[in-house]
Amino acid sequence: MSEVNFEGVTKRFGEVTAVDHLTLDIKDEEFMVLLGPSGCGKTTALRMVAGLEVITEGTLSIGGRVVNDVEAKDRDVSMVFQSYALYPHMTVAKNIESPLVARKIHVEGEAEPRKLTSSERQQRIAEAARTLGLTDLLGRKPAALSGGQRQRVALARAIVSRPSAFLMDEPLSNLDAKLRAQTRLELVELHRRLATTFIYVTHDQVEAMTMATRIAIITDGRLQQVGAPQAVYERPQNLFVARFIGSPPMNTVPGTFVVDAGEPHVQLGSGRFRVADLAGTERLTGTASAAIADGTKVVVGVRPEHLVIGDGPIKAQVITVEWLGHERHVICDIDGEKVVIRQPSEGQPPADGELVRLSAIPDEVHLFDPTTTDRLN
Amino acid sequence: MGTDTLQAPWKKVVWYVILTTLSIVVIFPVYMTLVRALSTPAVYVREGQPLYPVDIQWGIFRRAWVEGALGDKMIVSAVVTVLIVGCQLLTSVLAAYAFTFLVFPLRRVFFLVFMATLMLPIEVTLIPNVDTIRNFGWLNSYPGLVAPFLATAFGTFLIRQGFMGIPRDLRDAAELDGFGHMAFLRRVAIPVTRPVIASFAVIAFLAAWNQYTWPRAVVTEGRWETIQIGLKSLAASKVEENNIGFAAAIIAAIPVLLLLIFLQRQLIRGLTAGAVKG
Amino acid sequence: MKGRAGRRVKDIVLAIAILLPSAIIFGTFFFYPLYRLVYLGLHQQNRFGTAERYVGFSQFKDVLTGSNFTDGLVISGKYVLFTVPLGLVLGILLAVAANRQLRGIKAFQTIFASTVASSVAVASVVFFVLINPQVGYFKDVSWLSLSNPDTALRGVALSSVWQNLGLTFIIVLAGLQAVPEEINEAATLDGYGALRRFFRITVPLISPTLMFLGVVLVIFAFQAFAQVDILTGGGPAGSTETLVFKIFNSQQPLNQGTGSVMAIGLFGITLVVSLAQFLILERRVHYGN
Repeated sequence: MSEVNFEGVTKRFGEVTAVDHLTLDIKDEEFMVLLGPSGCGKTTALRMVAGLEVITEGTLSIGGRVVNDVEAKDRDVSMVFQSYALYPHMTVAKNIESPLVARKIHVEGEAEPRKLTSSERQQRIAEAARTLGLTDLLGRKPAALSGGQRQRVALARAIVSRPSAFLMDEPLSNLDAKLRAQTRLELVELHRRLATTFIYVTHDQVEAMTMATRIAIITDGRLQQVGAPQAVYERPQNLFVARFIGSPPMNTVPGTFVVDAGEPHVQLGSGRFRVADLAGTERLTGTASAAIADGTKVVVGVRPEHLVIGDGPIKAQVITVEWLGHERHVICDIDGEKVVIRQPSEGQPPADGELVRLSAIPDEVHLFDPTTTDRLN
Repeated sequence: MGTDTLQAPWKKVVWYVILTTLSIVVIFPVYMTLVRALSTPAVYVREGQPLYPVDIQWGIFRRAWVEGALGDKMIVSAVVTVLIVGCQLLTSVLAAYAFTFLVFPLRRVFFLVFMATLMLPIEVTLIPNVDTIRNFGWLNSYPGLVAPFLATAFGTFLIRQGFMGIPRDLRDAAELDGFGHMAFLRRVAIPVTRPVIASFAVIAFLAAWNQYTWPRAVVTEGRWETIQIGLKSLAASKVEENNIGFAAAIIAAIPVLLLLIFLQRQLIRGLTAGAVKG
Repeated sequence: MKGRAGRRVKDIVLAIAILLPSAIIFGTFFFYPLYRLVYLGLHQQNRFGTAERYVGFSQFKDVLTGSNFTDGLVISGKYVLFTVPLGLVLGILLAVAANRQLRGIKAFQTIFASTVASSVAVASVVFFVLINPQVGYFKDVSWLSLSNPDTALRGVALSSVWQNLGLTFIIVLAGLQAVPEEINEAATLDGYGALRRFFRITVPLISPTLMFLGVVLVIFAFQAFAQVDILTGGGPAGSTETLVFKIFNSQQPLNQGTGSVMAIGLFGITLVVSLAQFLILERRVHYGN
């Protein structure tokens, strides 16, 4: 059983609160990504799971056992550090062996963890090396390895003890773009093979979207939203999440909610358009638009792919068009607010400075409260 | 040991005890020197050598200053140190500049030759150098005291390291701005490497102020003794008077102690320059 | 075209102008003496330095194998053995103790580093207070008594050990702090207790620093002079006459030949030690750091 449970977990460094009453349940065998900008507290949260930071308040449990006061080596977790933290003076084999030497290991079929025998250790090293393609490199020292190879050694060291949970602190950030894409796939494959809980920290939302079973978005030490990637994408619970997930980011423009002929609308600049009544399809749930008061000031969120240039009600002026090969981004100005619209590459693009009319797909309009930034619909 | 590991409070107490004990051991010799400086020698020994001052002579420091002519010796030390550090800074900065930014034939060879002087400390070259100084008529004089130390390969090396760390872009931008070598040195190179230069200056000061072997060899008249050499003559004096010598030692250490306290960062940076990577 | 060639010439002229002062100093006080030492080593002068005769390499052989030099070498060698291992161990001890987050740790660090402020002369006087045979606080401690030829060197060496504490502490501490924190954390996670982590991870990683420090301390030890001059004057019975002490006392024309050969011997030793460090460190670089 390797679920990890945060209950009101708080971490303070003197005056600064790095993690603020985090409550999060990470399920057994899931790939949970802690996503957020630099300094948001995600790494601190991870380190608390590892036992490298003392928890100020709250309870942390691993596998149902409260571990606030349990030492790092007895928590049955492994960590892949951002800069890999390989021992420079040891060979790859010795590096991989390292967790097996001093820790007591849970062995299949045995109740109590114990120290492994020499042959058991060698067996596990060989297996980990095989899984990560390191068999030929076992005799080398880290200085003689490439960045990608070092990362795999760090991974091998993590899997060799077969822990309940794998913790990863931005492991891809030191790799170049191409290697990053490839390693993402390998990590997902590894997760599937090992069928163990992964807790993964990153600031890159592409990594989060492509690898996670669930994403937990954190900023300023507080959990913003947790859910499956697609759910978080389609229904962000507040402005921060709305703007953080998605590339190019969601357009967010101030507007006013009006009831026009009994139907929910939004006034954007000089244009007014229809908004979905009961938040559209079954995927989305929430307050019916009808429950919002007439005249409320809102922040309107629409993703670039949900805006259409045609003969809609919103008047805008094209600033410029960016070409990306497979699609183009039309950047427009609506009464001083900038919006981005995604269009396929075919067909005539609008000209710079041209006045166009936009419409938004009613089901895909998100409304947020300007003050609380929470989702309204 | 930055890991915020689960530390039991009693562990902290243990470490405080260890650290305090070690501190006492380190300070004990100096403490005893102070105690003995303040005590009257004959009485102290007779009392069976207690750990506290006995028959305290509060005027001992003034006595040491006057009878040991410490003021004069401090001045000699100060002048020597300023001369040496000043010249070393000048020659090292310039030489480092030449080796980093000027292109000339056999540059690498000359650099190695400069560095080779590090293998020849004054203890090895003592005999011929004293002869040279004597032949110049520089015994018992400032030139004699400072001449061999006006240039240093250590400083050249250290500052060259600093100069080599200046990004290429800065050099190019200066060239575009029309700066010649000396202008670049004055406006860019020196300001950018100020920490390294400061560290070197502190180290050079320490070395010059604390010198013993060379002044001992070229000074035969009391008037020209540096403070360090002065300590030898005072320490060797009569038993009834050696508290003067002890007080003098404490006085001699004060300038450097002040340096340590106020310029600790530069000092440490200078000392660790060669020792630690990164 | 002209601009580039012109610049080259200007560079060269400037370089000469800049390097000339240093070159003159180095030539006069470093390289000329080296030549002069060999010259003096090959000659024997009379008492007043007014006449000399060529004696050739036999003087080198005689001096380097003679008891004067070998005694000095042995004494200096013992000095190295007394000061360097102990100095390193104590420095490591102090650095490890002070390398932790505790309130007020900076004060302890300053205290441990403080002996770097004492000159050799000051350190010698300070130890005079402790071990002088007539009035020293520890004058009755037999195993470092300055009045016993068998133990006097230890007493003198102790003053160096104390003096070196500050320097050793500062350098080892810097080395410890240069070990990436993630490595310590990985070791903690791997279950290494403090002791095991120290010997298996920390020491190997700071070994280049320790090696550098070792060489520095060895060179300092071979240059020991002031301590002897102040504490024992070479006695008792010449048992503390280090090489430099002997060289210092060979400045008279009559002894300059012998002294020069000894100086060259000292130079050779310094060279060998530095070379050894260079080679060992070069190999260490391949150990992956």
